[in-house]
Amino acid sequence: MSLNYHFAPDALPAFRAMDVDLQEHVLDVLEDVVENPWRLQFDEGGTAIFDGEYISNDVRCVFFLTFLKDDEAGMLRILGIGAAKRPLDEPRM
Amino acid sequence: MSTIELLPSLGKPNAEQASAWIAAALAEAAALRRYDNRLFARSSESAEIESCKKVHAVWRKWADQAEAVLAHVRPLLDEGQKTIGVDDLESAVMRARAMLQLTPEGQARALEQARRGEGVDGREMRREVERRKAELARSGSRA
Repeated sequence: MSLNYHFAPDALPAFRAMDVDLQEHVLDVLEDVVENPWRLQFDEGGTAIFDGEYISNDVRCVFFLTFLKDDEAGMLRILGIGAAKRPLDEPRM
Repeated sequence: MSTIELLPSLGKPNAEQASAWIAAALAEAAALRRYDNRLFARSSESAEIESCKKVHAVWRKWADQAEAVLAHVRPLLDEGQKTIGVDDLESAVMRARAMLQLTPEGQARALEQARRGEGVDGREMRREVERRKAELARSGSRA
């Protein structure tokens, strides 16, 4: 059974601050994760973390997501989103 | 003296030294990731949040040191020398920096919100992103 997904209010500002390409990619990832929840490893409290990498317009971006699985509501609730990015042509750190 | 203080005084590393520093930083990150279940509290209890803050502090210190390692090996990269693990270490640093944007207190608050069922449906956020993308396309076509 696949889930729906839902953003907790405190997760929204970070998502809205992302550029639109990354927003789309994160939504694609979320839709894939709710279709395939086995990709997440939930702890005994029903929370999970997930990270991914994305390259767009010569910018490398790593994003980090936290979730709560709500079995009763059939929902994957997004608790937090963090992202770090670096232009590919930028001198290395 | 910590790694971050020592590296600038060591001068340009050779390939073997650079690989060893990168492998050491990656190994420490791999060990820290075994404690990912301690990054965020499952309740708003202050003791649990304080415990999570300690894990965050260790990750912050690791990221600072890993960036010092990357700066240390940069002369080799600038010369075009391949150094094993650089991309992996950069990804690990970016993951740590992304993770550290989420605070234990903020996550505990979001967890309470989620348990109360508060928030916005993903389909609504998809529509919001599509509207934003269309607006950007329109403003771009006018430019």
